[in-house]
Amino acid sequence: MKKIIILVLCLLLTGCYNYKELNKIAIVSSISIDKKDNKYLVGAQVLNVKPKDDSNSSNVIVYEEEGKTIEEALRNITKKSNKKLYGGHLSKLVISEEVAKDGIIDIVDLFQRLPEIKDEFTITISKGIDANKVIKVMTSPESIPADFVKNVIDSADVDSAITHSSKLDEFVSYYLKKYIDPVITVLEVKDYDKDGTTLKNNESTYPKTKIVLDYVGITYKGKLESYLNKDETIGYNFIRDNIDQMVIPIKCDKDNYASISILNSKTKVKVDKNYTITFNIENKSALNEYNCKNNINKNKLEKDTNKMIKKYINKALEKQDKSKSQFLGLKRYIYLKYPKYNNEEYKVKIKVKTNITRTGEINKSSKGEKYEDK
Amino acid sequence: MNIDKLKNNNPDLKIRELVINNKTIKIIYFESLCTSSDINDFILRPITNNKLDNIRLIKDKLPSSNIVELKEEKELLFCLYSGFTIINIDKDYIAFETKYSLDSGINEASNEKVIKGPKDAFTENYQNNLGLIRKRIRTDKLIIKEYIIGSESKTKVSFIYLEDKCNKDFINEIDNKLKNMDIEYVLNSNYIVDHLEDNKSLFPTNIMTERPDLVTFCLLEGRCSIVVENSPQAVIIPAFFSDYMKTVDDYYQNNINVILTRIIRFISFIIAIIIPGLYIALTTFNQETLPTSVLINFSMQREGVPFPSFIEALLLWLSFEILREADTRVPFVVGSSMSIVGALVLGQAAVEAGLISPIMIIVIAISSVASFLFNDNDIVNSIRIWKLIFLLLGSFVGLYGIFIGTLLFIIRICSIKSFGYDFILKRR
Amino acid sequence: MKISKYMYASIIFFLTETMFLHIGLSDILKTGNIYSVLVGSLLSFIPIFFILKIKPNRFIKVLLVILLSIYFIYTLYLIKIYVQDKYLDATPSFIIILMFLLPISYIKDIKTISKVSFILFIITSITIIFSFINLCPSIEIDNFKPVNPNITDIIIGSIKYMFYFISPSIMLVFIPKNEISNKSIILFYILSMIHILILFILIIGIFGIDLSINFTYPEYSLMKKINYFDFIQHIENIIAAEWLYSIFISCVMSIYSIKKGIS
Repeated sequence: MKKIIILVLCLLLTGCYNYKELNKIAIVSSISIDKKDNKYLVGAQVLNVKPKDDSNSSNVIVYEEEGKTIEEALRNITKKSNKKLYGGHLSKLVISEEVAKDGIIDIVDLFQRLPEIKDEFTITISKGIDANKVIKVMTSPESIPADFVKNVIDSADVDSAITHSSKLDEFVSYYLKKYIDPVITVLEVKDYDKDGTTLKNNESTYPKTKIVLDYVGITYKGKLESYLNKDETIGYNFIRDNIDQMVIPIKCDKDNYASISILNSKTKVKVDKNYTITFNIENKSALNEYNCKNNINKNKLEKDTNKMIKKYINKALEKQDKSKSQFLGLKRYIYLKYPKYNNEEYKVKIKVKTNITRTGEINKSSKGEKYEDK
Repeated sequence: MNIDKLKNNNPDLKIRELVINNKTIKIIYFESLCTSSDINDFILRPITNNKLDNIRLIKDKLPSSNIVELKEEKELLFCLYSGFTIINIDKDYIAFETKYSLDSGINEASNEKVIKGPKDAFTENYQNNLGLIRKRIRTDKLIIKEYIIGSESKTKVSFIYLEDKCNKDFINEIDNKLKNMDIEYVLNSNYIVDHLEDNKSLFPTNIMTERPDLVTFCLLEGRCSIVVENSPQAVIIPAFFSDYMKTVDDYYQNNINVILTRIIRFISFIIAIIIPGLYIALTTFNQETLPTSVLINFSMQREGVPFPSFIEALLLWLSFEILREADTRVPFVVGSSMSIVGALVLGQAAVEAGLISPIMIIVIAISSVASFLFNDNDIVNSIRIWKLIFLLLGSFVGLYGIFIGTLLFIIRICSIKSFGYDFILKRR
Repeated sequence: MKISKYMYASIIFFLTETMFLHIGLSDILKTGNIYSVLVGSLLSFIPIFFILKIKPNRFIKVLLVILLSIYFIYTLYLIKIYVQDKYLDATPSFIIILMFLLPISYIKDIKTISKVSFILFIITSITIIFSFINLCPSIEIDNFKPVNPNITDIIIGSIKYMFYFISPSIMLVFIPKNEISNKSIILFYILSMIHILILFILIIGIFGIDLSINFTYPEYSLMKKINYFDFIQHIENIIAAEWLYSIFISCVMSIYSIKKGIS
């Protein structure tokens, strides 16, 4: 009996310090960081809890404040918000170009150190526009804009090789390793308009203000160095073995193209003692579109695909030679095998092998089958 | 032996005097306990027809299966109160049994239902109960020891076991305790068991059942049973934790299907105890465990509710328990309006009035329904208390409290001893 | 009859992994590679045989009582910082320790401890399998690659591993000798060794050496990565209860051993 009294007493003494009711916390879904006169301008995109059948108010509310550190800026938001901010479900971080050029690694410390934040969220850079404008765009009224953009990035990562989603722990891990530098996804806003932040953006079938992915940016010593364009990004993905599925257009005629869709691809790396790196790329693909009149010649298509892939990779290698950043990690491949490597010269060889497994439902393109053309 | 004093206080005591060959024969019986037609046919008629006039002749000639020769007053009173008829010639007394069976016959089990298998149940008649057990085990290893317990009620209590399967030390221990038991009255079988062992835990360490086939199965496993007069429940000792997960149905169905049913029962036991506390701990202390879409859904439902979660859960739990208690007490004819009122209170009306959130109703309802899976009322009551403990721990200290509660529960179960047997390991 | 031998031996599973929680893992990760773990786990078979042969006489009992009281205070300190860091920020520490001591007051003898620890072992093994299945595909072999082992590092690492692994199990001296058999003890030692080895492989394989040195609780940050169908995420709160149970069993065993040692 005495034990029960002690239990009840000490439960009452706990005072519920950590008790947070669900309707008194504001769930933050994405954060944007800008710089303004040597201070950080931080914006937080917070969910607006409304009853289900009310579609006249927006899904999210954005608060902005400034401060000398990021946490101070987030605390200053309590000047405006009626609920305490809660970062347990943070899914996206948008950084402006200016902050990125000064150093991305300077601002990630808060997100690694706070125990309630999970470090699986995506870091992105906003190109050509302030970061807080990106999180103010209303993408669709049914879903949270942060989730929408995160799904855009994730599905692009899988379906086409034109980007690479960078999570926080991968970023820091690559930053700390030797001879390799991380890359970051880049976002852009097309046709930014004041109406883009309101529900008017979604009234028609064609929203005016859109958030668009813009390939990838490379960093050196934690600071943003430059951007990659489409071919270089695809080459980067091939070298780092990040390809899931993608489409390559191949010229099959003088003016017409066929499209080969790669189903899965694997890159194997070998290093020999003359510091020559050999990439063996093998992939399985399917022929999805053939816009030429002549017959399908599998061997020729395979050879053309190989040539195209080599072209992408060479473009990436050229960019690597021009920049200080080691975003491809070629020297790391050598270092992993020969730990005594010390920044010497290296050579790269590429071998590609494509295997077209399916050609689809029809044999020849119907384009060349019309009786009068034969 | 003073019969006339008794006659003043008891109007149903009848004394019939016959005079045969100049000897007065007194026939004394309680009208409320004896069958009058038996007395007429088997006692009065042979005496008057054959003119029997001394005790020896009466003892040899009267057809009766149960005769007691009386020497002292205590025995006389005991036999009178048990429905015997006393025949008195001069100073000799002899008693014949003419009991009127005051019960309802063998009918169907009302509380423990099965789909396949026999449906008969124990009644309030002591000999019927013993017979139902005896006709299932037809061996001479079945030992029945009888005691008379209770200074005011003098009820017959029998202790049944199979000689070659039960533990000898256990039998001797219970035997000693039953012989020296010193209580005033025994109204039901649980009185005996409560005095046999002092059990401080919430879980019952005995099974009270009204089905003779369950008693038979347990006897064949090596356990013992106690049958008490005037009680339609037999007690099986010792009881273990795995008994709560079994029902009698399991013995009559396909072996492999039963494994899944037992897993479902075990999971529902855990659900019934943990879910309200876990829900409150997850939504108020550790919100990062829930996925984002679920959290948004819960958040939308809690808008406009005036109570904090803990008080909301307590109120709903209280109203569920009130409904359940009322359900067992209300007479059958008024039953339908009770169910309508219950549905109204806990259904749409409360949600639309903005007092509680729908998700809390679902959580408490699942936990209450899951606890009804167990047919013993004692277990349902003990689940109720543990649910309250987990609720308190979860809402004051969060997920850490749920872990402490789990440790408390496991420690309590592991330290219960049921009549010297381990509660979990089934060994001494 | 057979199960009771394994019940007493399952106490060992929790005793050996307590010291790894906050200090042990980070300390051994600082040596920089995984070979110290492998060598240490093979070498730690040797002290086990010596421990099984100790007979408690008076001098050993006094020594053990002093050491175990220090260990008991250490476990209370460990539970305070672990719960305050991860679960409850603002609750005063006095309440956390009081609630932890409450279940301990219900335990009266060694048989209950063994049954409790066996049930906790079953629960823990289910959560371990559940989490390991999901974490295995995320290992990158390149994180092990720079293969330049330094012999002094390996030796120091394996000695540290042996110290953290074997030292709490001197409490085995106080368990009655007729209840346990050597075979069951060795079995549970091997299980615990495999568990810690897989933990190390996962931490170094997923995070890499440079990042994992920096964490304060590497095993907790490892559990943050469990992800089933994108729906069940961030359940490290529930999975990390395994460490709470191991601290609990250590605390209970140290109290019991102190009681036995004094009498």
